Amino acid sequence: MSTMTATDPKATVLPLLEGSTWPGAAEAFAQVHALPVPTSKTEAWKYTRVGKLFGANYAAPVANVTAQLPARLPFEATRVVFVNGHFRADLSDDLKVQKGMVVDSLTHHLSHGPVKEHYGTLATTSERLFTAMNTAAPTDGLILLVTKGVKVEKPIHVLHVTTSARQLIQPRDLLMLHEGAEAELIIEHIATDAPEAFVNTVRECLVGEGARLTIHKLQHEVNGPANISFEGVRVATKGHFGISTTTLDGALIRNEVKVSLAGPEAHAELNGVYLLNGTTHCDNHTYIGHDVPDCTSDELYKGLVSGKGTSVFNGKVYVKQDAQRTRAYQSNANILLGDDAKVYTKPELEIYADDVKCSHGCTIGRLDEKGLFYLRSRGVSEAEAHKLMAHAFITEVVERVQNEEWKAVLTAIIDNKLAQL
Amino acid sequence: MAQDTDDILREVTEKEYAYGFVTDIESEKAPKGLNEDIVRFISAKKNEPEWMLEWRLEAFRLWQKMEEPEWAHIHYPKIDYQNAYYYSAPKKKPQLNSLDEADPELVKTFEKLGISLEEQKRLAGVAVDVVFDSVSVKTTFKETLKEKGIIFCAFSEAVHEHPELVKKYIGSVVPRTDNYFAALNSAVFSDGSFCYIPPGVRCPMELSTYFRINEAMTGQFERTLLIADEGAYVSYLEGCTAPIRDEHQLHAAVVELVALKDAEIKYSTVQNWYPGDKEGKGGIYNFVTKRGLCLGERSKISWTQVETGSAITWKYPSCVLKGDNSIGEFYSVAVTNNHQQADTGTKMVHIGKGTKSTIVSKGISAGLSNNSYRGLVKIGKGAKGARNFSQCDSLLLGDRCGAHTFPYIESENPSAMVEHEATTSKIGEDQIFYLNQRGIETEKAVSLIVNGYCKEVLNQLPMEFAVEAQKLLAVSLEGSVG
Repeated sequence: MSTMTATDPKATVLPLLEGSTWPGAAEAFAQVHALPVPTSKTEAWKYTRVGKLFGANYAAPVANVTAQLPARLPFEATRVVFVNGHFRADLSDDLKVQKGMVVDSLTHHLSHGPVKEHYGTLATTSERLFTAMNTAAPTDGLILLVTKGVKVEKPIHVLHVTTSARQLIQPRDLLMLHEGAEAELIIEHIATDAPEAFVNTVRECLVGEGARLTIHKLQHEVNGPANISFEGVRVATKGHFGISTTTLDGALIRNEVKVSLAGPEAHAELNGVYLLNGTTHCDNHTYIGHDVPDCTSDELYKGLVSGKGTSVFNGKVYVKQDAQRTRAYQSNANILLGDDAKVYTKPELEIYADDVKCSHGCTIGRLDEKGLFYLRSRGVSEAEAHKLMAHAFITEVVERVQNEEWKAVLTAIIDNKLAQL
Repeated sequence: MAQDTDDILREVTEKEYAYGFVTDIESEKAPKGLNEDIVRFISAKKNEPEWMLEWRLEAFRLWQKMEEPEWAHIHYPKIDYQNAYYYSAPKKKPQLNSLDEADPELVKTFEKLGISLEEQKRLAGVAVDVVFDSVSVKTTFKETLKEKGIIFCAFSEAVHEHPELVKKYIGSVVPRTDNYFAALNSAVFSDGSFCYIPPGVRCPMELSTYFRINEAMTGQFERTLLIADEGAYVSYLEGCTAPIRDEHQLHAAVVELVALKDAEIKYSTVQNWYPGDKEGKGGIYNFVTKRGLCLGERSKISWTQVETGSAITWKYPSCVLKGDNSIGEFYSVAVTNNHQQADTGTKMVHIGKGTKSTIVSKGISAGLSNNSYRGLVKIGKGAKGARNFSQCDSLLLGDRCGAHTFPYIESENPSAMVEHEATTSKIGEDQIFYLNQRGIETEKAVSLIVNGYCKEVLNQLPMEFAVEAQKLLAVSLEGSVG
């Protein structure tokens, strides 16, 4: 398995990964050769088959195409646009928005000190094939550097647009928040007729002491690419990291979030909503490492699955020895709506300290019959009753969004999708 | 008080095995190692018919092609399967009619365990099929059972006397290819128990087998097959202890349960094999495949286990709920101490309509041990209206042990309901304080809390067993629970 043979399935991607000048690219390329494509026997990929991603050749990401952009968000935000992974200054806002911060295409900053110091530290290439692939040849990505005590005033709206089929796009982001800094990102993935494309993202996030990073991810790629992503996060003392992922459309989606709570009183909050129909396969894979005492984490993932949709959830909480006074909560709730819909969930706890309070819960079920009956008996139509109940089910997660303006936008998008289930 | 707690925990973690002793009974062994000849040797020793030998040989060939599983959260040095004895039987094997005729050494062993046959006999209605290092030496209450048409005998006896039943059901729940250890067992199983309850019969007493591993360096390969025909009911007890040994001993048992229409099987285990000393030296490797098949409509299989022993426990008593409206239950207390490692849990596979399952698992870790719950709840496409509830709690005593939960939950039917919850915590200081405040010393308080914590499971055990289980819990955590 460690050597490339004529039948190596990775032959379909290898030509695109060679010769990049990004840091560590050559070593990563060697790793790509060495690492096998995960199969259903690979524990971390048990329910998500990725073999088909290597079925045919890919083209390099298409540059300089015209792209249809959606309307701007109804509130102030700094828009940064990537089309097929390439940064587009012409479509983005003026990025010199505020003193004490850098937001730009990462390509322009590869030789800068902070990038040299942190790039690749939270996304190791030795075990995960997709990280190795990304590191071997990143397309481009976002750099966000916020210096000490600076609070980014407007949310940064990162728009990823995929415009054509069968291309391999590898976004690579590096987000660095220094002590006491604050930033909020809305990362949106959309696609226009781009089936069988493959977006393989790696994002590294360093949250400094007392800093606060909030990411809202929105995935609605109708007729879109496979979307495999990895977020490597390190949170320092009293830092706060929050990510909420909303998955509405897509082919094969895998969201991996790996958080290390590395300083006392660090906190991580992971939220997810997935509303799946058609043949969408969505896999949320989280790992929270409580590496030091007194950290807290909270995870809430909820979703509805209809049609031939599949939802996978695998959350792991790891409490290191002596990480005392850890508090970790994890919850995953699913509602199955279709006879061909499937849910696989695996919440895990691995605990080596004794003074902890950790719990996880998960449920799989259907919409509450009594609630539906109550609504029907009051003259609400069946479809409307379903929609109301589903809305109520999802609201618990959406309520956690603190940005009221974004919450309103998100609620409208979710309700629109609920009507299709 | 913190100091007190520390002292108590230290005592707990340093507690040595109280049941360690070696019974000096001459035994007959097969040569060391494993090959087709050994399989033939075992089969010949038991005077088995040709079909049984063929079945074993096929299993052995399959085993050779398989790989030892590595997915469990346990660590142990590679087992050298060629450096073990695969058969050992007490040399004297007379047909006994009463306890007086039994080997006095043997009787003494049971007396030391506090479960002498005399006592067992006095206990209301408990028949004991004593398995002493693989060969059934003594079966009691056989006559009473015979009247009801119940077959309860050694596996080797069943092979001769009820070949049609054995042929029909052996490997039907745990096929030879199921896993590495099941294949190994199928090739070299020494003996075990066989039980058949005819239609409509409610077994009038609790059936019980006492397992003992006695010979140094012999793996014990028990095989139990239990069939409850339509409308039958049986409660089966299995309990184990083993003496101190320096070398690791391998145990790979297979238990198969079959419940036909409207039948119910209640299977209870108390396992207290030698866990190794406090340095982690010695102890039993316990790799067990236990599975029940709810074949008929409205059948029910219930597993209850109290696991306190073994250096390594790898055990997942499971239910395959095939019959419509069948029920599976799993109640477990697993205690690990010192260097013990346990990876245990259950699988509930829902196939039939309206099937229900309940899982209650309580893990207690102390010392340097690791205790994992690993479970699967699978709702198949046809399991309309299936229902599962799982609760897995872990209690940590000491800051050098680990408690882990690995539940797999899969649903492919929109009308099914599955709920799972798990918690991990240590004994609440406030709970201990509350009890202290009312004049209950810390040691007693810990005991009370642990007992309360396990009560849900202990309540499921038959009376006689519940007493023993509480004793075992107390011994396993002695010092704190007195």
